[in-house]
Amino acid sequence: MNLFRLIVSIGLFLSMLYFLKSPLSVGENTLPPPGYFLDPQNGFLQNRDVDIEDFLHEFDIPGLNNKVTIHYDSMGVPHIFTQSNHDLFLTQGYLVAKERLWQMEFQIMAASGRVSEIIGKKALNFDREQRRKDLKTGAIASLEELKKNEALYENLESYSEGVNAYIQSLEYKNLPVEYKLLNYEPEEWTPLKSSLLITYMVDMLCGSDRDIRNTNALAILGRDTFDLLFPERTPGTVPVVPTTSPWDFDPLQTEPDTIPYSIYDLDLIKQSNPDNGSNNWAVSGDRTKNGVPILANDTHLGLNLPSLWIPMQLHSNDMNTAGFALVGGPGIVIGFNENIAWGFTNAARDQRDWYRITYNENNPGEYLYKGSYKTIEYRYDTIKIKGESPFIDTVKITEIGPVVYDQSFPGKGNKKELALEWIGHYPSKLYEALYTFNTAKNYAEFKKGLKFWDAPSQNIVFASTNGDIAMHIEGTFPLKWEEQGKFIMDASREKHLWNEFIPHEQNIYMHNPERGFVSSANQHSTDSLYPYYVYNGNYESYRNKRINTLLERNDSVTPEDFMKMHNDSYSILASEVMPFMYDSLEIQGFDSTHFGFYHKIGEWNFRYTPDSYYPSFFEAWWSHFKNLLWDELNEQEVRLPIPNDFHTVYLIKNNKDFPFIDIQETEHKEKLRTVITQAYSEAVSTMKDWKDTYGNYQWKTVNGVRIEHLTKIPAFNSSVLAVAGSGDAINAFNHSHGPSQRLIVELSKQPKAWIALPGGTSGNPGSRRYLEFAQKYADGQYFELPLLTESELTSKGSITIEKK
Amino acid sequence: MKNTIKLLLTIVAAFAGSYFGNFIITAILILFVHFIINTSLKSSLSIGVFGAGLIWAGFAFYYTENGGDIIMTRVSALMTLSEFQLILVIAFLGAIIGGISAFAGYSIRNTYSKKKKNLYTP
Repeated sequence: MNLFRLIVSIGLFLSMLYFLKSPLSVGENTLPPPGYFLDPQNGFLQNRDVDIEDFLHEFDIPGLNNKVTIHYDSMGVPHIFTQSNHDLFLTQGYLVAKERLWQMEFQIMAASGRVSEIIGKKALNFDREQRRKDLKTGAIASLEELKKNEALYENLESYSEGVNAYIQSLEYKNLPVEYKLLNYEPEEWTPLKSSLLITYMVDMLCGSDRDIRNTNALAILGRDTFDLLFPERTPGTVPVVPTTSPWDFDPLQTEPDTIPYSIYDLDLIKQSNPDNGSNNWAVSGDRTKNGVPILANDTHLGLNLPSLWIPMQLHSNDMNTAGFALVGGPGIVIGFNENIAWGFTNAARDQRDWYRITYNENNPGEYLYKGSYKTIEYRYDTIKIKGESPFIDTVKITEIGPVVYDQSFPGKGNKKELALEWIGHYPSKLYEALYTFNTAKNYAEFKKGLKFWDAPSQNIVFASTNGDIAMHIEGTFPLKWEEQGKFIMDASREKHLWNEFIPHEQNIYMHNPERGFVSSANQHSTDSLYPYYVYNGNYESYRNKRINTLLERNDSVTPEDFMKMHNDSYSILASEVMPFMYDSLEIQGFDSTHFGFYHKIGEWNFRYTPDSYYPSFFEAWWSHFKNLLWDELNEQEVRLPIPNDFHTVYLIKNNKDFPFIDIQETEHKEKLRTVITQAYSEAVSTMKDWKDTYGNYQWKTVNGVRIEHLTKIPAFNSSVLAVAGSGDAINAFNHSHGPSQRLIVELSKQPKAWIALPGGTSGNPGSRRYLEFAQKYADGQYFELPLLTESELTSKGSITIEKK
Repeated sequence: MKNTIKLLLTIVAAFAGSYFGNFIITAILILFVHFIINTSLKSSLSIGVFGAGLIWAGFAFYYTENGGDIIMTRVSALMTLSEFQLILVIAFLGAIIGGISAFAGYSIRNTYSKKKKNLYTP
């Protein structure tokens, strides 16, 4: 009996240990091992909030050459003071890892197609796509390029050393809660991972194209209709840099080639979010109240938690810079120093093209390239999957790049195979550019950094304490003939390939223009007088107009004016099209509900304010109208592009009888007024649905802006933010997309800067600093980001670490 | 008296095991305590359940009150529980560890111990 009890009790004891140390499978989800995760001394409760003094005393940085001081200011922003770049970047790496380790590693797992390792099979298609796009090749090439500049490469190594020093100090109880939840551990950080981060950003900002959809549209609609719906410039567009005098260079010449007509019935790979965009502008001292330039920038990306950016000041004997750093790379990306300030918007130039691969009928192992056959190479990618056997993806590699679309991917696969050529495959010197910006003292030094800027293509705004302002559209741009890369190209034709690049000195720029300001908001880079072919299928056309209007209106601006501009929710789209639609309504047959909205919406001032329902009604109305108008395009069996809002407005105002107005599913032919009225009725129904679903239809409810954790775990998200704005307002909010940071710098003798951030410095969902700035951000408020000197540091919030 | 000492040692084992190690160390320490100090099966089980459950509940409550309120709110929402329910789950887990470890310790100790013979049995 006793022996039996012993066997039972030991069995029970061992089973308990096994059960508590094993993850639990619940349906498709896996829960963390309960014995570790729920243990109050080691599990999730150890990710509790600690005050900043206690937090600072956890800093223990090995490898420093001299003493380092870290100070968290009253707003919770870290300032690092060191005597050398080695100590500076080592400390930056340590600090960023301490605040954001899980985020920095997760981004790299995503970039390299390894998410299945941590969340299982549901990420397999994502991983296959990432690996097929081959971000790693570009990252490795960039790192090799970086090694040529020893001092710069040492910065990357120091940063990695700092990250690894923090990782090595960790026990289970100190791991970020996401590691505990997903039950895995951090890996060693390397300079290659910092390089991959840049390639990941390039993919995020250049990872969109219309090549396949344009090719289908051209084949199905014909040239005339294609040009009518998708012109490269709609009258009324305002470029970033208008030509004010002839371009002072001899352009390289191109020879056009023919474009193959074809239809591609493909599932598209993931495209970058079309709302990725940004605003930046700088005004010269002639137009500001204090007589010094002021610069503003807000970059519109996913509203993520932990925040995409981490604000900080970096001070060494070589640099004194503050602003926003990327989580995983050394230096400041968007910011200012004692002499200059800079910021970015996406230039949206087409740096990604697709090539049809034609195989040798007699030897499928060969493909046509530049008119002759080449042997295809194969890469076998082993993708580890949590809880399952690995998946081996076979990828064909051509001279152009990897064959992304093939008979096994995406979806069920395709007969027509497409290889990818994109700027992310080329070595990048971006870190060299950024380091030069961080340390530049004037415009001339800043320009030295611009020549290293290859990708992603950006509109880079500049201002200095010397009084200079400038806008440079930078990147490495393939030299293209008219419409090259707008459609799917042919790998067998030499003229279709990227053979040459536009010389850097012939890139578009504007320096101290007569109008006294520079601005950009993802619109056309320049006008048609620029001698090179410039194309993108998704230029923005409203925010830039509003920015320019507000800048032209005020010749004595202050930083506070720029804060108001950042938060401006006026929609030019609504102001241009809503009155036109309103006047076109056929109101006979309206019931009381229809009239209810009809009498009210005419009072709208076209501002997307959070408590108003007018923006919700307009959004519903405009959306239904576009669905009815473009039904011919939406209902095709293959994917076609849809004209953008700016061109749609132009078309309906100037081509009232064009054939797309007719609604296909009805037998009679509708007029524009009828379509607008039908869309109005559908909008009334949508408003009713929203009220039934959400309890109200205020804009803040319908837009539902929230900052989302990268895992998409709702409990780690912010609550809904009551923010003003919409996709085409300067304050461009759309669900979980919007300004990922805001920066305003006044270039006085001692530059002053103000920032806003959706989130906080900490990446720990259990910390008060995780969402510390979110409410201020939602309310349109800013806080000062000072360039401190060592003498200004207070003992409160500071720690000095001596060399060990 | 023996039960009180055993309870105190169980509490110390649950505290030290968790503080300096993890739940496995906790379980082994409790097993050891219940191997060393012999009481009845019933009291061993009760002391194991109560001692470890109390410590885990106490720590859960303490950390929640000392900066852990935000992470407690988020994780309880993730598990679709209230914060109080999650503390109960943590306490229950501690109690299970304590109870089973105590049972194992008791069983090892008493495998070869013979029952006292009835005085009237020849």
